[in-house]
Amino acid sequence: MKQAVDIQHATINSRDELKAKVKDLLDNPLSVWAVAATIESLGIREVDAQREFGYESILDLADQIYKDLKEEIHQKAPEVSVSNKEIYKTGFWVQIKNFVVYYSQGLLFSLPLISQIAALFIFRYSLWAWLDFNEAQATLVAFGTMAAFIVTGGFVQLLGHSISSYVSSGNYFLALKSSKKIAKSGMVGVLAFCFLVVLLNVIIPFYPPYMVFLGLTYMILISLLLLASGVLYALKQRIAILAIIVVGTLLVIVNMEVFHWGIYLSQWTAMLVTTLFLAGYALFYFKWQIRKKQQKEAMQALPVPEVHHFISYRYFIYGLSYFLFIFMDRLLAWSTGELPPPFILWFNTPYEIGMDWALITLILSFAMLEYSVNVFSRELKPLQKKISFLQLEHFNKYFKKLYFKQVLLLTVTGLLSIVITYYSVRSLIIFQDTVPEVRDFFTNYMTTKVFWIASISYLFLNIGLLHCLFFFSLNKPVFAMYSILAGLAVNFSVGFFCSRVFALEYSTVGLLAGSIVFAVISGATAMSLFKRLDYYYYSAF
Amino acid sequence: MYQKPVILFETEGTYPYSGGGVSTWAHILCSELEEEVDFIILALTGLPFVESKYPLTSNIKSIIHMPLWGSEEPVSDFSKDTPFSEHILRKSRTNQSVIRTIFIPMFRDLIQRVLNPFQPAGEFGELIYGFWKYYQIFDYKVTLSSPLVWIEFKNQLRNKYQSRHGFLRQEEPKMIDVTFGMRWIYHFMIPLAAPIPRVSATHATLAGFPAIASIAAKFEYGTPMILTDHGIYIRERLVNVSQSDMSYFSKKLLVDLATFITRTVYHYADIIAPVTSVHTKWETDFGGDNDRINPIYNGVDTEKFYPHPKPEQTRNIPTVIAAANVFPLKDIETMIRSCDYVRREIPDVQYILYGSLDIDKVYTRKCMQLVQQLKVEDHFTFGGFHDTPSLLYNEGDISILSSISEGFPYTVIESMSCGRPVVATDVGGVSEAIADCGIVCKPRDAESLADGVIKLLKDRKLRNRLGEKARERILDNYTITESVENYRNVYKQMHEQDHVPASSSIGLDSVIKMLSTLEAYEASG
Repeated sequence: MKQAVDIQHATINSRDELKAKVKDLLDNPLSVWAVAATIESLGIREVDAQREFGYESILDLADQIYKDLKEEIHQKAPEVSVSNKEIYKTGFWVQIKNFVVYYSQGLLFSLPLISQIAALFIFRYSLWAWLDFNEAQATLVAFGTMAAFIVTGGFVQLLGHSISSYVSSGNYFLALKSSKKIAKSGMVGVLAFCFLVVLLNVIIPFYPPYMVFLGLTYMILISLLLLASGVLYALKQRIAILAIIVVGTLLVIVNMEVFHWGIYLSQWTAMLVTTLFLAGYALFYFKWQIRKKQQKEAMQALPVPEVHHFISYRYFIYGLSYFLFIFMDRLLAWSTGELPPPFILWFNTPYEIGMDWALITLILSFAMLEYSVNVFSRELKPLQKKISFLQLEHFNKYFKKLYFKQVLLLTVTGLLSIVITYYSVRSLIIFQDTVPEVRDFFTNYMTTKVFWIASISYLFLNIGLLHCLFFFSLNKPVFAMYSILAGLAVNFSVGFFCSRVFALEYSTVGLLAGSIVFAVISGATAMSLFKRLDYYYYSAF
Repeated sequence: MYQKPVILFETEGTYPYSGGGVSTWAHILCSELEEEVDFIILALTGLPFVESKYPLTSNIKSIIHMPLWGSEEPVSDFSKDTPFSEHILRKSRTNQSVIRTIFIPMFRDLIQRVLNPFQPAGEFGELIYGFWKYYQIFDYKVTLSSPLVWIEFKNQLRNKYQSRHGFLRQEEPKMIDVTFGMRWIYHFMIPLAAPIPRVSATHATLAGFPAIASIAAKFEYGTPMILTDHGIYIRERLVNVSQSDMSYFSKKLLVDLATFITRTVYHYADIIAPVTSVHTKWETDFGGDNDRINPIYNGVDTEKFYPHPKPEQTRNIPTVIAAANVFPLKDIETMIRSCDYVRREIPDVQYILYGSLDIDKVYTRKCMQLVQQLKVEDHFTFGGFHDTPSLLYNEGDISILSSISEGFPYTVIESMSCGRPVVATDVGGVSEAIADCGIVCKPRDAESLADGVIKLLKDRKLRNRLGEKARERILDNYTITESVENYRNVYKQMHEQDHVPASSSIGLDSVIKMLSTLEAYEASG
């Protein structure tokens, strides 16, 4: 920042003094006109140029000062150019610090999930799971869970995009407004889905009515919880989410152990309370930020619906497709088998346990995504500031290298995570004589098979997700949308074929093939993006 | 054609969404001509969320509000009569082939001229029209976010900077400069995508980007154009941008863009009406011909702004009134320093500054700190926004203005109309307004400003004499009636004259080619 002129001594009497003032304000002047305008702003008038400085006009005086200043600047020793090595160098300890900070933040993202797994193993309950559910109960809860994730997936993605773009410009008022609107649409979507399910079940009775009622109740409550936590995730309030989820889970235990309300009422009450806490906290946070930033609320309006939909439909499709992708293998596996299932979709315990086991591998590698995308965003602007435009190719090459590094890091972490998860769970084998569930776990071959195929699929899925995060940070959701749609199509067709031709657990092959396609298509897109990163950064508006 | 004149009135950052001198003038003009002239306001603002600061009169038929920033689909903000489905259609027809064949040649010509904005300005107008025509069929955002446009922009810059001839290393662009440079072009040129109504005349309130609409209208419909220069846009850009802490390249690009647009506006305006004859020099230097320059002075409502005794609270206190929003061009720091000098001579002196404190909060804070540093808290008051300007001058004995740049400031003529003599810096049209009815000092000279204040506060007879003369001068020369009458005549004349589109005289190859391709495109449906 340049120093303001000291007005007490602003009366300028000589050309040298004037030149010094102009230099102080302009350093390297842009033009004679810039000098003339500056001279005028210093209080020198045409009459002063003539009387006090002996020039015919301000423009003549400016011309002389401009020439003098340019000459001085050219005579000065040329600036020492900074070597490329210096520009791109990030200190070792800075790298370590960045890794620790972002990786921990990434772990924090998975903590609510970990808390649920822990609660399940310690107390046998979580917010919507229970180790003592029979297969019929597990089926309806799994149905509710999958439907909730799929139906709200698009809306949660929209919440993330909309809130973070308003919050990044400091506009919490519109962030709140858009959250309410999207959440409301999400709720309408959930109710519409329920209506369709009921209607379909009336026309073709897939399930007895009480199962539909229970399944949809779980679906509605989980959906509300997902929408509320989606708002807080977008606001980066991860600790608050964790705390509220833990409180909610404790409430299930209290309901069960102290009040003996039975599992349904206990979980429903806890989910409702958790959602209310999440939503209440989000509302409080928004209001607090609006007050803190003293935002004027008048006239602030969201874009009209058609514009809003046009801006965000790719995010919605991506979110919806992503969760369809995640649950596609289960939908395929649970609707087939050597012995046809009693209902159109029937929970398969060994299969689900294999999938849950694979899910644990994501905890370590998911955190790496947070690190990678932060390293990318953090380096982008500072390097743009440092690198000369004439060395643009170096810039693109550097980020291409950074991209490969991140993919490698993610792959290594993913592989390590698979090995660690496998052996950690295998080590539980010592309990097989004392805990019947552990014995069941290790005697079923399907579980291990599902684990291996699913965990390798998740490795590819994670690589695809990394690419999508790059696409989102450069405001190119269309690339993410097409990649996941291609993956979803392959996931479905291969999964359908394998589960019907070979065995139900081979629906995971569909997941694997879909994940590979997702990773490869998004990877090819990412490579071309990094090749012309300068363009994609420019056009990220 | 309309029965009475309809004027497309173009503003940037002022009427009707912000207060200040230009907005005051605009509001007076619109309300005084309520029965005779209709207005369509084209208002450029920074962000989309603004509300009118003025009660809009019935002759303001519509407002085309164009936010330059903060909107993902900017065209949808101001092109509200066109359904968004039409914009989607435009997006779908804006393919890379169209961009390559008809847009890029014009864009190349544009960038070459922006990087060297002292080329013939006639061609600049042709380009502006060419782009406007293009954006009536094709999409603004899709075009400018195309990789072809980015590559062309880079090529032009590479041609200029690769040889390194005549450039210092510090003058070469960094990558961020080029990224933001192209984004600025995207944002500042948004008025190119506006639908422009067919009207009697266009009236630009500054020689800047909103006047793009005037140029397009002149080519398309032959709409005559008047420009009112309150300050000198290019001069103010030169001061603000040159002194900012941006990189050399960014500053140069912004100034070149401003020069490009200012020279185009001066070239095409039928009447350039500065609010003071002092502006003429800058206007001719940037392409305005003397025979098209015709000053129209601001006027004051003398029935509203009339002398009456000081109110109770300031009656026995020597009081100096300032009406100015707090931002650097008003040089409030010099005003505060003058207060420090004056209080040594007149210990009970009171300066009251009325005006918004929100425009430049950093500068406001700096001024408040200066008040504390100089220990003049008991003598200098920040009164904030005053909603009845006609009352505030009468609170004081005299008025003060310390600006380093002005047009023909209302604060001076309003104070004079209230019979309060003014001590002011000699900038813009200030000395022309004050003549021998007040004291004019060198800008940025706190001591001479203070001397003027002391002289008037200590000499009641002189003060009263100058006050009376000031009121007489306003009644004779600067009344609203006089000012508005001038505009009424211009509007009437432009309404009645033949409107001959300038599009037939286009000579730039890239624009001619684009227009013929567009014709063929439209003919093929």
